[in-house]
Amino acid sequence: MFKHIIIGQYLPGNSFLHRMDARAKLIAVLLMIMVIFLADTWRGYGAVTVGTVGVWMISGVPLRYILKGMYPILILIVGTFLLHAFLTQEGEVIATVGAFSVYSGGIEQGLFIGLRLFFLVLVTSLLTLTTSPIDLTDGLEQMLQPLKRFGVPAHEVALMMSIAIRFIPTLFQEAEKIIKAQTARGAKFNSGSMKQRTQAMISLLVPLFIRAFKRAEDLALAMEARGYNGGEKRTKLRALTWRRKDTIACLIVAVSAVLLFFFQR
Amino acid sequence: MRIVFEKTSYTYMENTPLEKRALHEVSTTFPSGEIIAVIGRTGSGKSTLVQHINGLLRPSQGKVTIGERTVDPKTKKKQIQKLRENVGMVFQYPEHQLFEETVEKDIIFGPLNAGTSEQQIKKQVPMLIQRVGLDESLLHQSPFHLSGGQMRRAAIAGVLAMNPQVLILDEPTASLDPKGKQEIIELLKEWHEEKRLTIIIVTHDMEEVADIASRAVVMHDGRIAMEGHAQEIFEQQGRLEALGLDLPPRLKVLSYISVKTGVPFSSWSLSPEKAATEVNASRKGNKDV
Repeated sequence: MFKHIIIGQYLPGNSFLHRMDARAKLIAVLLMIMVIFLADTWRGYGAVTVGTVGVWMISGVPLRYILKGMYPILILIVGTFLLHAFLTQEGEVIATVGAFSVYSGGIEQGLFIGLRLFFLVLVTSLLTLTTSPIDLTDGLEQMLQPLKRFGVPAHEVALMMSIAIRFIPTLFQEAEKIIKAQTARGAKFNSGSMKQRTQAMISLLVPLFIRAFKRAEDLALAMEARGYNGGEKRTKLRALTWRRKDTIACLIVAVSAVLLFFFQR
Repeated sequence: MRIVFEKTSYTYMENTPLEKRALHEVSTTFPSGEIIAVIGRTGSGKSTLVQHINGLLRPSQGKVTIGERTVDPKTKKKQIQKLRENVGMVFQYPEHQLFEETVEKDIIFGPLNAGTSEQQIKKQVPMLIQRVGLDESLLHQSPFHLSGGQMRRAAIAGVLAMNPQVLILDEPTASLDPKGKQEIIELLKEWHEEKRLTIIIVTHDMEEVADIASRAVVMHDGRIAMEGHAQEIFEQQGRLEALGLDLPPRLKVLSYISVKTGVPFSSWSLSPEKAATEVNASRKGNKDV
């Protein structure tokens, strides 16, 4: 049931992307996200496509793996496309379906937003697929460090993230177990009427949430019992190292971003 | 209902790099109306085996026959639905599946899904709750306000409410105190005497099933290592130990006494009192001679 979800999954490897510093990757991804939001012409989206495909090619992640993971998001993308296609009233009328008219501007807008979503998920998936969760949170913590002065709890945010990531698989296992138990009691998750399915979902979600809260409480208690007190002067077992190639990679992304901004006009 | 496994194999995550074979051509028969213990270490395939009985898992190869229904790799999901109404399954930590606002609502969830009318099932609830040893006043409380042991009984009542012909329990006494364990075992014993259904208990703790199981199946590495009458299985201590199973302390004590004194015990699952009586009787017998 949950086999295809790749959000937050890490695929160990040894590509250039895998070996990059987590901070460099975070900066690069931030830049790429900005670029994706800035693009609003066909030329712009063309350049974004070339860029993202390029990044994917050096990541060494199999295409089939990515497409499979994109499948659940596809519904969202198609949905957004349809919404825009039917509700935007710009350009010429192309076709009329019942009370709705489809305008050329709507199609264009729908395609743009659909592509935008697709690339956003692709770029962020590539980040998590090539960076181990530990590196990712370490990187984030260090990047938030300067904001500490303004009261941003950098260490706590990073800790929360790593705990959340750590418990994703646990939650999935738990969900599968509860699904089995309720199926054995005749709950209908995949067949039956809308009402029966809703009832089945409730029988899954209530225990799942209760267990999650219980577990969070236990964890908090265990941490306190061991005297955990945040990141005060702790050193890291595996320190992140920023190399020259990280600087270069970030520069390349930044320069391409600026170039794209002018190129798409 | 009689349950027959014929060369049943099961592979988790088939056709992926994470493929793992959990059952290897298992063939065995669980006779109708008996209490069967399925014993094995963690990862021996015992849970996988029993999940085939109510169609939660379909065999990758081979087939399973439950009563008159057969489940093989080609069986459709629709056909399995009926099977589930006859086969009740109590998972490990069943209290984790409670979700309704009141204990009563949770108990009738299964029967309602099976199409029993609400009135009809509500009549039986007071009897059920007493059978599992809970007070009737708890029926209208939230299940989350019960203690751990009470929650487990409420969850078991939810499965018994479906009045299954086959009842499967996966480690039903895990993490209960000795008294709680004994009470669950007693409850199962009584239910079995009254309904004469087939009960299958999955466990790695032989002590808890020594009293009530009539048959035992020992799983090892996805295969059946030993099977037969429970008594005979428990007697083969050497083989059980070789399979990495802990012998019940009681059994160890009895066999030690037996070796030291030469008393042949009538059973390996005697209570301490009965064992003492037999030792005494045998001593007297010896003196007489």
